[in-house]
Amino acid sequence: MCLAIPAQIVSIDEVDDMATVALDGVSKQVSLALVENAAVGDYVLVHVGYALNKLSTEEADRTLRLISEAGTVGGDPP
Amino acid sequence: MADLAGRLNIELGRKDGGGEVSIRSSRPVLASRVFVGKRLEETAVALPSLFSVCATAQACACLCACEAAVGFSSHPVVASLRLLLVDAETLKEHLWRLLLDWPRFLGEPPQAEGIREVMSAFARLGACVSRSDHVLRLGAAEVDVDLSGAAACMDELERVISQRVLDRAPAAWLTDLRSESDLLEWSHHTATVGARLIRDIRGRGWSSLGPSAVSALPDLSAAELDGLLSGPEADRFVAAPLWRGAPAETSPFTRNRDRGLVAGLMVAHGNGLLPRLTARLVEVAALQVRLRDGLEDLGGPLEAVGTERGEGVGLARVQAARGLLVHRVVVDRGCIRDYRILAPTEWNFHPLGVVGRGLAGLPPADADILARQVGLFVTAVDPCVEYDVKIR
Repeated sequence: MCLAIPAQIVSIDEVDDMATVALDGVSKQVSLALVENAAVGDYVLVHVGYALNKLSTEEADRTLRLISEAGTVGGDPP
Repeated sequence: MADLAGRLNIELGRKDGGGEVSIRSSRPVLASRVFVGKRLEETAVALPSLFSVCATAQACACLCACEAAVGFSSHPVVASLRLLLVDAETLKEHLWRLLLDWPRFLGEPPQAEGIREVMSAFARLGACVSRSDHVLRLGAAEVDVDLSGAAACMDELERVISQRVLDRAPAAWLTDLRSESDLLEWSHHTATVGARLIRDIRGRGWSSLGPSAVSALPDLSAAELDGLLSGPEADRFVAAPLWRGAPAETSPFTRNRDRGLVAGLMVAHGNGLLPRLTARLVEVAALQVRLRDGLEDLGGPLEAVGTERGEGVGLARVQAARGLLVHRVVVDRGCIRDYRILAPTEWNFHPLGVVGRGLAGLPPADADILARQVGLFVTAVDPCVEYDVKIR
């Protein structure tokens, strides 16, 4: 379903407008094309290789808790 | 971390001289179960945080379904404003595809500056239309719209669309392009990424790529949807929906298939690649015009979101960026008892659906050609998640 995942920016490559983001020890590269004034430490919503927008730490925590809960109760479809 | 959002695994092979395609999805289609046991108010706030990709469409579907379940009818202007916000989100999503994804197929970088302009205008439009998100609250009963601010945002969006996509005002584009020869003429004299991609696929002879016998999903009645989204087969249905035993499509393409330009292209190319890409351009233009008219005509007779049932059950149907989005909710004493979401991607990327059948019909070709064709076709249908392609 149409989820975007909060992750924290750990480094920024300003030349390529890319960032390395991390969640639970897993990191990946995302484009910062859609986000302005991103900084290391910011939380962003990640979707199909892009950071969509910035989130506050509280919003990120809330969303991650929901995602975790959804993963626990959602189960696999038949 | 992307796997939390799920992904699609698309495999192409050849068997007995014909194409064979498998599409496997790990999208969390039952994630809405997380709201069972939660209060209505909490759900209305939390749901768009969870389903944050088309957050506005998801929020509106949730609000309308929950309000219907408790027998609350929102004011027509609230309903109109919600629809307006959904249309704006759809326009934004289309522009993302056009400015981020389409350049890739031309070997060009994404148009980051254009995208930032779209994001900025979209965010400001939302703030003008729904100050403090008041329209996107359960039981919203008041409106507070900054009409002149919203109009300025529409001017900005129109400028981006005109400069970077259509090369003229959206209304003029819709009037000027009525046939394939009009489209051909436009694509040859226009330097925008949309025009150049259309020129590129026509030049490769790929206009009819990926046709299939999969039909457009008809307008389903509330009773039919209610039946499909309840009962013991509902889980299976939302994961891999079929309509009367057959796959169906719900998308910007099916929404615009009756428009002159798209219908004309379908005569020659069926539901292949060129009609699909063109339909997205048509919808960008049409949404811009509709948003502009909608702002000027607030409170006028706009189409309702489509909420049904009452007596503890609410159903909402929203035309979101990728197709029809349906929410069905059961409420008891202010708490969610059941929550189902049916998303367009599950129709369109059904293993036997429009993408599966369309890709199975690709003629034999080198792997790099096939990969490009698959990428173009999948982008044209737009799955909303990451996907892998394996060509055997």
